[in-house]
Amino acid sequence: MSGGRGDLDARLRRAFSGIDTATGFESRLAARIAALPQLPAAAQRARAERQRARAVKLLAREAWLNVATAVGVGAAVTAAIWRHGPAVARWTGDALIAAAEPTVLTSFASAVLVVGLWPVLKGLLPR
Amino acid sequence: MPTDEAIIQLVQASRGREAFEQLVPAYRRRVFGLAYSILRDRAAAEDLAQEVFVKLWQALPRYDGRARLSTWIYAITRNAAVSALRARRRSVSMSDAAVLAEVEGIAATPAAELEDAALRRQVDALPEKQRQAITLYYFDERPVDEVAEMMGLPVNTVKTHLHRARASLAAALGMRAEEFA
Repeated sequence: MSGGRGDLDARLRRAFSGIDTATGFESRLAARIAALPQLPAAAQRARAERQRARAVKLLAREAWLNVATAVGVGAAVTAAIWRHGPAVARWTGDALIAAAEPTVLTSFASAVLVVGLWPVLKGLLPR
Repeated sequence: MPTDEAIIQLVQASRGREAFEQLVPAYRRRVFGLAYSILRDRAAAEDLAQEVFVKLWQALPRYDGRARLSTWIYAITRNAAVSALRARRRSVSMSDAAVLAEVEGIAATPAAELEDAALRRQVDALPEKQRQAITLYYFDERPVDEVAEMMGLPVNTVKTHLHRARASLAAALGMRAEEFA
C-alpha cells in the first residue's frame, strides 16, 4: 500500500500531460479548409434560413393535422355516445356484473399477469 | 485568449474567417481533449479534431447564438466522436504487423512513460463515463463544471463519476482506500 489522493492526482496529471495534437495542427487545418469549395457566408446564411423556414412549416402542418385528428376522433366518440349511449351503459353494466364472478376475475388477473411478465417468461423458454 | 463573446460578435458581423481564426486556438485543446476522452487514441483524436474544425468552419455562419458557443462546439465534437467510435468498433482488429510494431514500441519506452501508459490503461478499463470524466478533468486540469458541460451531464453526476473512478483506480493501484471513500 502506498500514496493517497494527492499521489493519484499527480500521477493522473502526469499520465495525461504529454498528450496533445502534433505540431502543425493549425496549418494542416488551414490547408484542409483552403481545399474546400468556397460558399459565401451570405449564401450559407440564406440556405440555413430556407432550411429553418421549411422545418417550421412542416411542424405547423403536423400540429394542424394533430388538432384535426383529435377533433375528428372527439366528434366521432361524442356522436357514438349520443347515438348508442343507453345500449353501451347496459352492456358495460352486464360486463361488470359478469366480471365480478370469482372465476372470471381470476382468469382475467392471470391473463394480465402472463401478458405483463411475457418478456421475462419468453427468456425462460427453451430456444 | 479570445472570449466566446468576441468570437460571436465576429460571426454576427459576418466576419467568419476572423472568428474561425480566433476559435481554433481557443478550442483546439478542448476539442482534442474531448475527442481523446472518447476515442482513447491520440492520432484518432487528432484526426477527429481536424474534422470537427472543418465542420465548425462550415457551420459557423449558421451559428445563431441560441446555445452557448462552447456547448455547441462540444455537442458537435461528442456526436462526431461517438460516430467515429461506432465506425471503429465495426472495423477489423489490429493486424499482426501493427501488434508487432506496438510491442516493439513498448520495449523501447522509458520506465516513467511505461508507468504513465499503464495508468492510462487502468483509466481505459473504467466504465465509459468515469473514464471520460477522469480524462477531461486531469487532461488540462479543467474545473468540474466545465467537464460537465463538455460531457453534457449535470455537475453532480460528473462529481460522482470522478469519485468512483478515483476509488477504482486507487484500488487497482493498491493505494489506501480510505482516502477515496
